[in-house]
Amino acid sequence: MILARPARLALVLLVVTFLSYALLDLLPGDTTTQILGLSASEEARERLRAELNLDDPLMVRYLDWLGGLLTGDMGTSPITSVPVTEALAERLPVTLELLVAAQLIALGLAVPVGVAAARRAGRALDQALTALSFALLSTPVFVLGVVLILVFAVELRLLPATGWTPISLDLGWNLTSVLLPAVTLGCGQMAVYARLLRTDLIATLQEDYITLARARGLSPRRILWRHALRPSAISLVTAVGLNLGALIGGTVIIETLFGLPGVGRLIVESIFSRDYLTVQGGVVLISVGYVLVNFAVDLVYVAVDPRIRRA
Amino acid sequence: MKRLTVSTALLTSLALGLAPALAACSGERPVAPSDGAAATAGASPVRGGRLVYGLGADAAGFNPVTDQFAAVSYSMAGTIIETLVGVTASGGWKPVLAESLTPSRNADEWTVKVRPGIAFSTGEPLDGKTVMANLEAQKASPLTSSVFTPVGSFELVDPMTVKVKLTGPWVAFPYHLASQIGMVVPPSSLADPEAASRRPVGTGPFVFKEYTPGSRMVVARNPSYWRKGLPYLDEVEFRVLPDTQTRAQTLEAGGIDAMGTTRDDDIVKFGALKDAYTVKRASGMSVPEYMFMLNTAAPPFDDLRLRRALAHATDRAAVIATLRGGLTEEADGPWSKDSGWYAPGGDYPAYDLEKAKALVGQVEAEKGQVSFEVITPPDPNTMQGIELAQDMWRKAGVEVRIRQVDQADLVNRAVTGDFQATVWTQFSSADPDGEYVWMHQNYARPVGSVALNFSRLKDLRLSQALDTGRSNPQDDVRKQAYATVQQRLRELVPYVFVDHLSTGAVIARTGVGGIGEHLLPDGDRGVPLTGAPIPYHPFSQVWVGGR
Repeated sequence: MILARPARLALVLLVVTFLSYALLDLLPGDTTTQILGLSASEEARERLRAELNLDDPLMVRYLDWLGGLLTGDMGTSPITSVPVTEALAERLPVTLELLVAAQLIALGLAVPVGVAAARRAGRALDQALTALSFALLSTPVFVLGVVLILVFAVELRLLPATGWTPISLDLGWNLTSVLLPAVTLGCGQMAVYARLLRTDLIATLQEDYITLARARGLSPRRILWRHALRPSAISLVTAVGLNLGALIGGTVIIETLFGLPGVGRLIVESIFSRDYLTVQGGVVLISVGYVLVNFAVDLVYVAVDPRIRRA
Repeated sequence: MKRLTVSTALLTSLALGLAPALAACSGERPVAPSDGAAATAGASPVRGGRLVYGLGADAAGFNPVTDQFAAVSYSMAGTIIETLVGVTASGGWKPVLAESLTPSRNADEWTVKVRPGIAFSTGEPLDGKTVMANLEAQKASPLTSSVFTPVGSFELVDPMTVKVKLTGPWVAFPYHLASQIGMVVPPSSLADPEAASRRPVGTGPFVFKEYTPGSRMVVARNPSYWRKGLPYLDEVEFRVLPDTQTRAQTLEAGGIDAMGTTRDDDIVKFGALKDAYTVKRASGMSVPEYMFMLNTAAPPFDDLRLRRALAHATDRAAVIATLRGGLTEEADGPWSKDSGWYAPGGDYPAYDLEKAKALVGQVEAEKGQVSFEVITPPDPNTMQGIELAQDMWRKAGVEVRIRQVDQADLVNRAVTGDFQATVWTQFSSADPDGEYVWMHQNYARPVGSVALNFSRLKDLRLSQALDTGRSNPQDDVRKQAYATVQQRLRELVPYVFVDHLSTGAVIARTGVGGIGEHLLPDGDRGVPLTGAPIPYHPFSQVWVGGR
């Protein structure tokens, strides 16, 4: 099953990249106008179209691009004249750090919140945490982001409102610059994870082996953290993998809101400027990342629940 | 005890997430020390210090020969690369890298004498050969060649002098050298355009230090800058902050020292805080016009009555009160009253709903129900304006559909004539001749062909007036010519003008001085702010005082 993964990855990539190539081709607007501006002559536009092979059929251009991809060449952006791999490599660390930080914050908050709600299911704390989860789930990230900036940057002046400091420049300032965006992005995920964990934990706590553990006199804390949490985490682990797509979508908004130079913003800017090659490169990157993360999630299942290994 | 357990878990979790960052944070990003004392606007310039400047977008490259320059490009690259000419506060032009520009008697030749004793930061000297190589590269570039259409050839007269031979008289030629096409880069940049696109080199007050695409650009003082005593700042950091609201919040939070904006909310809010911020707004010829551009080559706006009806139905005062907080002035042409080129005359249709209804009725009687589609980019502010106009036009009996398209699609439709009406912002050239290609009938092509005259209006009188303005060196004759241009535009209504969009502004904290207050090399005051939608300005005479 694991060996079939690379083949599946290749198939997914083929389908996704072709579809995105075709969709971009359908978009109205002209790359030559984006490059040359409004005042360029028709002759100059025609010359550029020929130079960029924009008049070739879609399939010819796609296969040409695919051939380049197989040799590790994603092409050079006709808009910025920067190699696509270079542009993505510059932006990837920002998005990766944002994603990882958001997931860590979401999980770091969701586990205690979920456990606390499950232990007191139906009581005031559970209801309060449920209300908080729904509030976070129903708040759009751009609203939450603006509110957090107002509180922590404008009023309290604890954190910078915008901007990015790379890790290589200063770790402390890097963490400072990623915190607000990561909290904004992670809050919605936290609510989802906490709800999932709470539901699964409540079900697990009603299992026979938990009753047996209680009868043996094990402390509630030990039962909860040692015996109930792990088997209740399967849905949570699945959600972490599947939510990566939603998180990447969220980074587009977050990166724009907080002025972070990440892959999400690069892709959106490239779509608006009809920079097909950069968009394609971004699509490949996200597709590969998504498949690899979900592959890793499959491996984590085995570690979380030994029954899967035995099966 | 149980409650304590839960709280501990929550707090631990929070602390794990927040502690490292809070520990690293003092609330303000560290800045290079300034050797100047505290200062406020109006005080003497302070040498040293670092300015952090918020921009709404990144530049699409810094090579003036190969990359399309927007206002942000001029802000960023303009710190490093200088132009041959500058525009004065009174709307004239003065040499910058050029020592002089002298026209022949009928202005069909211009002799450009290069200012001596200037070198690029690479050490390469600035001379006539380099200037000519730059002009030739611009003429050959598909990006800028259309501006050089009237240019025949260049000739190196002596090591510091270039003669530009034109195909006809062109009195406003120097104004064009104040823009991207007049920027001069060293031979090494011309030889390696890709490197020049990422690491700009010039003769300017600053040198390139660092650039992270989509994030920031840092420039540092050029120690061998040819204008003695300048620049005042040690460093400028341009930070790309696309979201207008968070850009303003970053200024409030002290994360940046100054920013550009087009939001009337920002102008009102920061303008009220006079002790903390200064607001500089664009004015005169630098201000673009907000309008609805009509395609005069396609139904229904090939009918002049309907174009006039639409203008009669547009309550410009209501738009300004509703959308601009009353900050702008009504427009009835491409140049504002404070520009020096404004001329009354012509019969621009004032707001009069009854006249609008009557004209629509006439057209309907001949051609049936009047309806059209207006295209707009999907941003909320523009949509508000369109919906307001839709409501006004419906009251006149015209059925209007709104179609949202992205900016790239909108521009493409304008260029190829695939539209009936579109929201549009244009006309901020320093000299009226800068609008020549957008209005002259020689640049109007049939729908489906690429045309620079997007409204596709063909009018002989208007085009002849544009030709006169381009070729006649006498100021009064030029003024009369451009008065005719305005008159014809008012009569023929290819554009339903709304307002002079003077909400382009630069907002700075009060410790920042010199924004919009620079002198050109020969002592003339330069134009304070220029460009649209967010204006730009030079940074050589900007300084920072108290923080």
